[in-house]
Amino acid sequence: MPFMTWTDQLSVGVPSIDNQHSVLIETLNELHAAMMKGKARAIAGDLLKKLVTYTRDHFAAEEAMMQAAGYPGLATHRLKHKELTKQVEEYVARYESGDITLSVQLLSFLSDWLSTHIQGEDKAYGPWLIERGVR
Amino acid sequence: MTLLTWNHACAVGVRAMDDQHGILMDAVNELRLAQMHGSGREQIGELLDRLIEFTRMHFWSEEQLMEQTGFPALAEHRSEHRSFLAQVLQWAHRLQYGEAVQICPLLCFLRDWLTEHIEEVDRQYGPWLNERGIS
Repeated sequence: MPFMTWTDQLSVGVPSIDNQHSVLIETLNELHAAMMKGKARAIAGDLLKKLVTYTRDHFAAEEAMMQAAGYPGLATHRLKHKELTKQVEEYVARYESGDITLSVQLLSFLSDWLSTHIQGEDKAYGPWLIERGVR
Repeated sequence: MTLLTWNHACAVGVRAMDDQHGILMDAVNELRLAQMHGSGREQIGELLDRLIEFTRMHFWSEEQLMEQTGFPALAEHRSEHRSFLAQVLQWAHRLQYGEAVQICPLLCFLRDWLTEHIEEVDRQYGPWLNERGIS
């Protein structure tokens, strides 16, 4: 059973963003599955890096879209992205130095954060971007 | 005049709308700052235009959600939105055509109308939408 499931509630109305969100969720699920199977640290570590890189790229893409569309809420939105990126980077650094192990707690935190952020701040920009022809 | 600040007292319980309300408040605050810094008519006009644009989109977002879920008080709510926009557009028109416009009364109007509308009118749709899976 997947850790996090895509539902229509998570759609922001912009197909390209919805796709990226889907990939994020998929990666989260892969990481969870690897953990549950007790996969070697190396595999989980690689998946964690993939998640972090993809999240960074996704945030950059979203911000570029918002900027191009002149979205008024861009500055605040960017701050939220920055906050999460910082938290995750700190976690990964500690994990890589062997300080902590990968846990379901991190995955729950990420899936909750994603769900709240997508249904809140991301859905808020949806109509603005759609009005300006962003797909 | 105090600036508008989003806090949990103004939460309507629909995250994307709460986020858009925050952006609206920021837009009013920006207008006030511009006025305090002695910005010219043109810049004030531009900020007001952006506020109007975002407000239109926000009202549309709200009305869409209410329409999709068959919210009973949609017609009255829409009517309030239209009345507000008509009044703000009048201010914008006067500003654009070189009439002497006092910004302070406009700011007070925006602050008071938004605060009351969010706390008294928008709050009504929160539970209705939540019950239908929109949070």
